[in-house]
Amino acid sequence: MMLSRYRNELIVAAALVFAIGGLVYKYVRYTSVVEANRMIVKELSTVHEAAELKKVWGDRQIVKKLERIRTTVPAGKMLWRLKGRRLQATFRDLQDAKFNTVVSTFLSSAVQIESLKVDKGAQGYGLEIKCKW
Amino acid sequence: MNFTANSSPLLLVHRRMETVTQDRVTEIMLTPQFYTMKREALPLKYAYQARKIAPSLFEGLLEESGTYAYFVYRDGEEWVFVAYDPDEIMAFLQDKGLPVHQVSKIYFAQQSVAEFASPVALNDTEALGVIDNTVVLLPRAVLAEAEYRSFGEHFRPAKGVKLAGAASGALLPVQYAAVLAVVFGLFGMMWIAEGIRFGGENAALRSQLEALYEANPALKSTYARESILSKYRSIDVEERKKRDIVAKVSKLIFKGVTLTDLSISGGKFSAHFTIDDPGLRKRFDALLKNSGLAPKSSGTGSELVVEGTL
Repeated sequence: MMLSRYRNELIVAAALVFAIGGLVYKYVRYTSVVEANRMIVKELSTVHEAAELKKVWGDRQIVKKLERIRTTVPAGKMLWRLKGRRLQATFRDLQDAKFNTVVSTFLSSAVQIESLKVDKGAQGYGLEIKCKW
Repeated sequence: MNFTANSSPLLLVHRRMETVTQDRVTEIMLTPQFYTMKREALPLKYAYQARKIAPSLFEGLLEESGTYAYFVYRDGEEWVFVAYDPDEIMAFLQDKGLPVHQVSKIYFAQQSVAEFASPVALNDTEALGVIDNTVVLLPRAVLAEAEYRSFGEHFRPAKGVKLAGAASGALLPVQYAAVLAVVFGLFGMMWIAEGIRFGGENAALRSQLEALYEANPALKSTYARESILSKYRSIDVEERKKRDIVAKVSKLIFKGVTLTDLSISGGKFSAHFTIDDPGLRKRFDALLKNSGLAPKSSGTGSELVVEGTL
């Protein structure tokens, strides 16, 4: 009886509920998709960063790069102590260009510099570096 | 079992009827007391055409104070036009204990003219009968010899009308309800379609991630990733700071300025500069300011020390 009386209102209410349901569905779907994509982007960024960091700082071939320095500096001007993955190198009387090359080689290598000391003497630059990798 | 059968009772409504005591949805048949009828042979094909001209047919016949609605149907070669006042009918029904929301449909006695061939008694003095193919109210006195029949379901015509606006007692007229329902329905479907269209996660990103995992299988494990990140992140930050300091210090060296000593150790750094010409100090200070480094003291001598933490 009452249902029949308010049939029009019930139809409109049902349509309204349907519309609201559609809207809620849209936003739930949108939110879940955005969240899923956000998680992938975050994971991608983390994996990428981990891969890059590992590639740079976990490089076991660094010693080969550093060994090249030994070939360019006269043995008399250099003290090279390599122990496992630690290096203590001391250079003296390096001219500007050679000094720059040596310092640049160390700094461009993914070594952890424990200490770096540069001093200017009468014959050129002296350098003492302790590093590990 | 006939599910489409009309289950609403049919009630014959006349001026001197008793008060109704029921709460079921009812269909009513109105006696000629509630309507004015005209029969015309017009060359019209469709009912909507007849409905359009109905008001003009009743010009001068109806009371001007009333608001009339029109019902039209075809009877053989003729069109039957019925004019009725919904407000008057609703008021009467209300008065007789039949609220308009209980009235689902109304019919006119003229529609069942064949059924009224034998008169139907309304009360002790009045009856409904047919004269010249028109249902009329007759005094029973003139039908002394007639055989009366009782009013019932068989008088129900195929087609009826709803009382405009208040036929179901609903707050919303059916037209508004239909429009609103359609609008809401369309919006609902549109939003659902949009929701479906969002699709799943981004396929390009997923394939990029898969490629990265393929190149670095060890990183599939979250634990392994976190372990690598915690180990190398701090190293990366620290070492970048050391290299940044060396880069800044090297930019402070120019002709006339000599770096005599540089030390980086234990999270601190110290750089000693010798400035040959006091006139170069201004340029050196400007470079120092741009590099973001600060001198240990703000003296004006040729020896200058820059210190800081990494």
